[in-house]
Amino acid sequence: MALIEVKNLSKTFKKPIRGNGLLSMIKTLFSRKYENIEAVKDVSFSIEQGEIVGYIGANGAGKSTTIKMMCGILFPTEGEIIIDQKSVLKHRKEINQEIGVVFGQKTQLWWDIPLIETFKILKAIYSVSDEDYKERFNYLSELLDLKSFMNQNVRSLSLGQRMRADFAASLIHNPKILYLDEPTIGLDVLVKDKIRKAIKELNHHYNTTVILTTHDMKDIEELCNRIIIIDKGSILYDGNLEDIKFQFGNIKNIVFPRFEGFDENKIKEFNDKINIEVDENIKLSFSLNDVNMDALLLMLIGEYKINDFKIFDIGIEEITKELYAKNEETKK
Amino acid sequence: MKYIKLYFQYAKLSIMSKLSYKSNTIIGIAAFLFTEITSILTLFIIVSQVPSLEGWNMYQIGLLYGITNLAIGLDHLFTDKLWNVAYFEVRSGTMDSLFLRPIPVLFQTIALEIQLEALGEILTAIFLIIFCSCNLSLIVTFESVLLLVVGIIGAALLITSFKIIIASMAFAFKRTGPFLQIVYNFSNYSKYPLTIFPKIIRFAFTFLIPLGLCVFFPVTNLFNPSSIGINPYLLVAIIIVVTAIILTLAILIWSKFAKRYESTGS
Repeated sequence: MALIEVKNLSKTFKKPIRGNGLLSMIKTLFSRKYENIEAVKDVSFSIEQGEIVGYIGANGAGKSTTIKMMCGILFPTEGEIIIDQKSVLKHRKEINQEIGVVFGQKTQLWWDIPLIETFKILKAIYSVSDEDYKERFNYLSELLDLKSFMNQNVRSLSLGQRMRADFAASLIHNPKILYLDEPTIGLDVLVKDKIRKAIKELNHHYNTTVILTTHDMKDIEELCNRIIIIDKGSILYDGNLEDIKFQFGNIKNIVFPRFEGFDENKIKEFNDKINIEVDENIKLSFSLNDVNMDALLLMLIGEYKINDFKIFDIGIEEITKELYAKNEETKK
Repeated sequence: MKYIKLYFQYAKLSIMSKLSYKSNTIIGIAAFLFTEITSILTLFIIVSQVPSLEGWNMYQIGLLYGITNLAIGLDHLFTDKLWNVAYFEVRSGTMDSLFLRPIPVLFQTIALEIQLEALGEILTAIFLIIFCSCNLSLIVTFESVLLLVVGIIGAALLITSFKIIIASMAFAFKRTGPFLQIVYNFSNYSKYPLTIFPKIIRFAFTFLIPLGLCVFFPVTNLFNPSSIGINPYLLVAIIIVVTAIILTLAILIWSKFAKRYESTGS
């Protein structure tokens, strides 16, 4: 039996249809028409203990809505979520004992008092025994380097410190499942790195199951062995990260400013599998399976004297786009 | 047992947070003291112009006013967070973290804040009660004091219950603060002798929002026991039963509406 089972989950928000402008807003006071917005449509998956799963998709794809339903904050319109063989809807309090949550955008720490007090009250809320508390508190404050600001007021912490503290606070009761909703948002590279290491270490040490949403491809690459891609409320892909990278992976983008005398045909001549987009910048995208990037770069530098360019990997948005296009095709 | 301990821990943190903004807290308490003192003075100035109001003299009215304000102050001290729920918290989605804890959301909402500003109200109320009592010859017996204490606690719990009911509607309608304000203001009526009001208001305050039952009758009992026409012990029992029913109802309504909580997008 899997640890988490999500079955045919749907969430529909009912929104009154509003026109623009004052007059039509007044009109809506009298006649209300609703439109249904399906944030999540018939989503099903199951997750085993100890997995680290990346739950990804563009903004508004339905990631956070799903996570919130899995935490019991939001009631689903249809479907069921079963954690540890208990329905989230019926056993909210028991389930809460088993999960830890970090929302990158909202802190759960007590704002105006020293950080240590938050840990003390969480110990009481989750009825953590003195022994376990000591062990975990020491482990987490070591892992996330919290000691230096443990006695500072939370409101005076920097974002990086606060995120680390939030992260530790969500783990003090040793939950079986950890939900991370954009845990690295707005953090610098060093802190991101620390958080990633901590997630890995924790998964190893306590066998904690981790489900994270993120827009940072590096988070996914370093942490997840499995990804679920969601778009417009439905699952597009659920599986191994390696597979999808192989499918789309090896795709590289080269971008440089547009200049006089650029000739698309020359690139086409070099290799016709290169996709060219021209606007203010020129963007070449291609798969390493088809194109020798070294030779291409040599040609660009040699022929055009380009010395200002960027190379980057395919982003999750592009993978989603491609997957979506593929899906549409197969439907036809 | 766990919850009592937990309550004190929450309370400690709330007071610590309040004290981290010392001047703000002191100004808040002072503001409530000042507001209360001016409204009491106004009351005395008006009442002193008439020899008696439906048989109530100035000190008796002052006593009733003080007792009602004590109940209002107690509710204010312990359950002020409900206002935030009605006005902002549902709309801004900041209640997420409460729904993540393995303890009831209502418990957390109430335990999260001890509103020290209410001390301004409570202090003036106590002062007024003592001052008026000294100028009255009150009938102090075990039963009259019991009735008064039960009445004050009952009144505070009734105000809390109505606050819970209206605040919980915010889970469905996002913002019910203004509505709560209107209902809350009704509690001001019970600061004055019920007998001066038209029948309909008297009826409402005895049976619909039974604040009058909790405050007016116990205070009357202190100087004119024969006029209330009911055994004080029976009245104690009625107040306890009525308050328990309304409070339970409020908690049920809260848990029903809490299911409709929708967080905000993040």
